[in-house]
Order: sequence, then C-alpha cells, then structure tokens
Amino acid sequence: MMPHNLSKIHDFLQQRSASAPLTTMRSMAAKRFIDGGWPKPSDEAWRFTNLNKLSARDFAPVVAGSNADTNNLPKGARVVIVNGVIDMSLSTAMPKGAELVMLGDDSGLASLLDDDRLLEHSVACFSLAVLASGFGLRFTGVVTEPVHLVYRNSGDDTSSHPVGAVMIEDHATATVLEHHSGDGEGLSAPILVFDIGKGASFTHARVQVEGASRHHLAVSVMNIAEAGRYHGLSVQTGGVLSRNENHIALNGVDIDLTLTTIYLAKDDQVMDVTAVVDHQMPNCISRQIVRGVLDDGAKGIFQGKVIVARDAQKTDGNQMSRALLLSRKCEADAKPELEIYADDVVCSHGATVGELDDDHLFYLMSRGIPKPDARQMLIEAFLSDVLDDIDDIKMKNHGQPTIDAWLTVLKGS
Amino acid sequence: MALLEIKNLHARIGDVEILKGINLTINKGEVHAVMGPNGSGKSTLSYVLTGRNGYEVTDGDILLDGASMLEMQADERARAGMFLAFQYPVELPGVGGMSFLRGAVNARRRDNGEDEIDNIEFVKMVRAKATKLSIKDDMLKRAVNVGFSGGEKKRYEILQMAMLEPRMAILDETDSGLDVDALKIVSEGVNALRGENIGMLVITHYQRLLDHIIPDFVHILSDGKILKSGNKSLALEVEKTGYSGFNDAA
Repeated sequence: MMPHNLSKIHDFLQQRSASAPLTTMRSMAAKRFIDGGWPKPSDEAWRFTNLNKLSARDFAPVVAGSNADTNNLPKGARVVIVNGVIDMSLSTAMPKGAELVMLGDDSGLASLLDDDRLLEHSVACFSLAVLASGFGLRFTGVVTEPVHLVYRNSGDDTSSHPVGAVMIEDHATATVLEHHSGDGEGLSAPILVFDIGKGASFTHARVQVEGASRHHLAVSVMNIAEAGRYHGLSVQTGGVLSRNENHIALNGVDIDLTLTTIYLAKDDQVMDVTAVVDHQMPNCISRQIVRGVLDDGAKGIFQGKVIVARDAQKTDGNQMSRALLLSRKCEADAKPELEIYADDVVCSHGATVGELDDDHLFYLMSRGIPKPDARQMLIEAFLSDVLDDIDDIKMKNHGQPTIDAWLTVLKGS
Repeated sequence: MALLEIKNLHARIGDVEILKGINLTINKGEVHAVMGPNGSGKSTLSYVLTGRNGYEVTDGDILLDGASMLEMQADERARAGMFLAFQYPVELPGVGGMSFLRGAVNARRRDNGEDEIDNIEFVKMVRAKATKLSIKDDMLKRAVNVGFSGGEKKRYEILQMAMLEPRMAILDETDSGLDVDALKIVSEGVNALRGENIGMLVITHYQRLLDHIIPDFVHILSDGKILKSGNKSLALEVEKTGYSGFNDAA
C-alpha cells in the first residue's frame, strides 16, 4: 500500500514515458523509494534530522523549467539548472578540455549513477526515480577556468531533482563551483556523482543559499583514484531544513582529500552536515574540517564517519567539527565516528560545541569596540582559522561572500 | 571638576561582597597608586570601573567628568575615555592585531563624529608608537596577543593605550610577570603618556613598579576598603612593614 503523501510522486511515475533515459535504474530507484518512503527518525543516519514535517507534504516533481529567478548568472562557463532541469539557453559553452553531455547520451557517465550509496539512499532514490534528463560533465585535460553549476529553484509544493555526473579523467584538472538558491516552500534534492581519475586534481566549492522556507537534501558521492587530489569548500546558510551529505571513497593510494564545511544557521533552521570518508587503500590523507555558527533557535548537526579498511595502512585521517552557539536556545548535535580495521594509521576526530568567550568580548569592548562589532570579530576569528588555510583563491572567493553577507545580517539584527 | 570620582562604591560577585565602600577622587594630571594584598579587591576595582559583566554595583557611584558611568557598557566607557591595561591580556586567535587596533581607533573616531582613520596614516602611527615600546613589526602582524611572551603582552597593552589616548587609564598589575628590562620598557612607555590631561590609577601588589612610575598619591586597599592614603612614602612603608601592619592599625 502506497503511503498517501506520495500520491503525486506515484502519479508522476505512472505517467512517465518509457522512453525517458536510464529506465532500468529509474524503475529500481522508484520501487525503493515507494516501498521505503522517506527516512524515519528511527533510521540511525537520520537520528538528528527529522523529516516528519517534510514527508507529510505531497511534493510534485518538476519536469520543465518554471518561473525561478534566473537573473545575475555568473560569467564564464556555466551550466544552469532550473528546478532540476538543465536550461541550455541559459548555459554557456564549456572551456577547452571540458564537455557537457546529457546522461541519456553518455552511458559511461550515466553508469556512475549505478552506485549503492545512491540506490540505498531513499532521498537519492526519489531523485533518481523522477530523473528527467540529467547532465554530465567530462574533464579531459587541464582546465583552469572554473565551470559553474548554477541551481535555481522555485515553487511551494514542487520538488526539483537535478542529477549530474562529473568525471575528471586521469591527470586532468578541474574546478567546479556550485551555487544553489531558490524561493518558496519546495524541496531541492540534488544529486551529484564525482569520479576523480588517477593523478587528477579537483577543486570544488559549493554554496547553498536557498530561501528561508525551502528544504534542501543534497547527496553527493565521490570516487577518487590513485594519487587523485580533492579540495572542497562547502558553505551553507539557506533553507528551513537542509542536509548536505557526502560519501567519498578513496580507492587508490596516495590520495589527498580536504573537505572544509561551514554552516551558518539562525531562526529555526535545521542544518545537517553528513560525510562518510572511506579509506580503501594505503597512504592516503583525508581532512574534514567543519565549522558551524548557530543563532536563535537553530539546530546544527554534524555526522562524520571515517572508515579505514584493513588494507589502508598509513592512513592519515582527520575529522574535526566545531560549533559556536550564539544563543542559549540553539542546539548542536555531533556524531563523529571512526571505523578502523588497519593497524598502522594516524586517525583523529573530534567535535566541540562552545559559546563566545566573555573574556574575549570584554577585552574587545574595553577598547571601545561596540558589542555587535566585537561579536562579529570573534565569529570571523572562529571561521578564519579554516578559511585562512584555503589557498585556492577561486574556491575561497566562491564561498566568502556568502559568509560575509550572513555576518553582516547578523550584526544588524 | 574631578576627572574620576569613586563614591562609596560597593560591588559584589554573586553573593560575595568584594568592594565595601570605596571613595577615591582622581584629578587630571594625577597618578594614583592602589596597593593591596591578594584578595583585597584590586582587580575587582579595575573591572567594576571599566564595566565588566558579572559584577553588581549595590551602592555608590562612579563618575567620569561628573557623569555617572554605571549604566554604560564597557565599550561606551572606553569611548568616553576609560582604559584598562589588563593584568592578563587575553589571546584572540584569528583576530588580526592591526584590524583590532584599527577597529578600536575607529570606534572612538566615529563617536567623535570623525571620519575613519586613513590607512597609511594609521600604519605610520602604529609603527612609530610600537618602535618606542620595542614592539617589532612581526608582532603587530600576528593575531592579538597570540604567541606573545608575558612582557610582549604588557608592552602591547601600553601600545593600545598610546593609540587610544585615554583620559583615565587603569593599569592592573602591569608589573606582574615582567623582568627588570621589560619593566623598564613598560614604565617608560607609561611615563611617556603621563601629562596634564590624563589621570592614572596604577594597581599593584608590590612597591617596585612605583620606583618606575612614581605616583602622586598612594592608597592602601584591604578587604574592599581604602585603609590609608598618603604620598609615595606610603608605598615604602608597605615595603617595610607589609600589609599586615596596616590591617592591625585598622
């Protein structure tokens, strides 16, 4: 028996033409989502992020572009995705060494979606089930110009399900800058799959600034091959409820991974940062750095897991989350986990939650600095130790304005 | 009119009364020293005067130029001309020293209706004042007090004082943790700021600081009250008899 609140999704799937791409995968995902439904609080992976309110809504998946705001698009190479559907008229040419394709036309890229980390994830199954087209990006050489992935969303009872696959071939270099925004009370459930080849280098920045009433449940999965390098920065300030989930597999030796996440939440926002880093092979380094600032009645969640397989000797895995609470009503939950099967590794993890230090505030104020400015200086200082470590200017410039804007609003409130 | 007037000041932390009726008047151009043993309320006095949270004033008043400061926040008092050189300056990782100093200078200028300070002028000014205190460029570029030695922290306090040009400066145990050479540099820095427009309150446990910063008046603080006031010879008396002699006399 199908739950009532999936009726529109069910109708959508019924009316779906058989000629839509990736039929087999879509049917499997559809069956799994319809059977399993939304994640429940009893699911360990969703213990801190309750989707009850969200799952009570009956979202209608969007198949064609709509009235989302498509002004102020970034200059340069860009792929524009409106309500989950790629808009070729707004997208621009890719730089030399990069190629934009439709997943239905590229079985190599499409096959990246055949991944258990997606097919066993109910929200990902929802997006795969209703997949309209899907896009692929293939980087074949050293590409210095960044490619923007611009996601614009709109609508109250609709959901958008953009699905993309990005392949950075062996020894290629790529920079992808994601930007997610939108209005209304709808849901965005974007999926991205990344495949980083041998000796390839991938720089990735992601900004999520959805409107205050939107829901945003993103799932990204990544495979990195021998000597691959991934440096990522994720900044999120948007959505009434958001989750940014990353599943990263280090499948070769000598991989270098750094993922920095900054989440800034206020009012009654719920923001979830979930990451699984799976070390399968020896001699890899992974760094996950998370900084959260929470105000009002906001709730922040960090779930981080580092897995070190038996063969992954000499792993250097590190995971650290720090949350700063600006109000007595906000909440930070953390679940850092290490699962180690190798014996010669250096792994550390930790999660701290703290407030602004009164001694620090007094010191600044005793010099005449007004309290809102003093607070701002200390919050910036809290974030600066991770931002200062980012040496890629494109990546930093993609995230920094969102942080600055959030802090400016905070100071004025 | 007195610059700073402390009238019958009573203050407590929680249920514990620390200041039990302090009276003290400081005029422009005067340097007063408050000496007292540990636990006499010296640091509390400095914090209550500069508006730190957590202290409750239960009676009395603090007047700057005749106006009560009790309702003013720490930052407002600072912009009105109060300055505290901390006994233990806090480290602020991630807060750049130069932007901190600029923020403090500009906060005061904004209050006075002045434009923000020109950046080149500001850097020149900081460098000039820093050189006099033997503060190297490298130290200015670091985060506030981070990685500074005890002596460097105290010199940095005096640099801030020089930049902010307060009218009423309180130096809380500025000599603690300083060796003879550092004490000399810091004292010279303070003495250079003495003048007819500034009042100073030098809080210290030991007489030795007062060999370098010579006070016009000395007050003995014990158990939250001023037991005795006099001139600089009172400090030498303390050195000879210790604080217990004064307690007995009281």
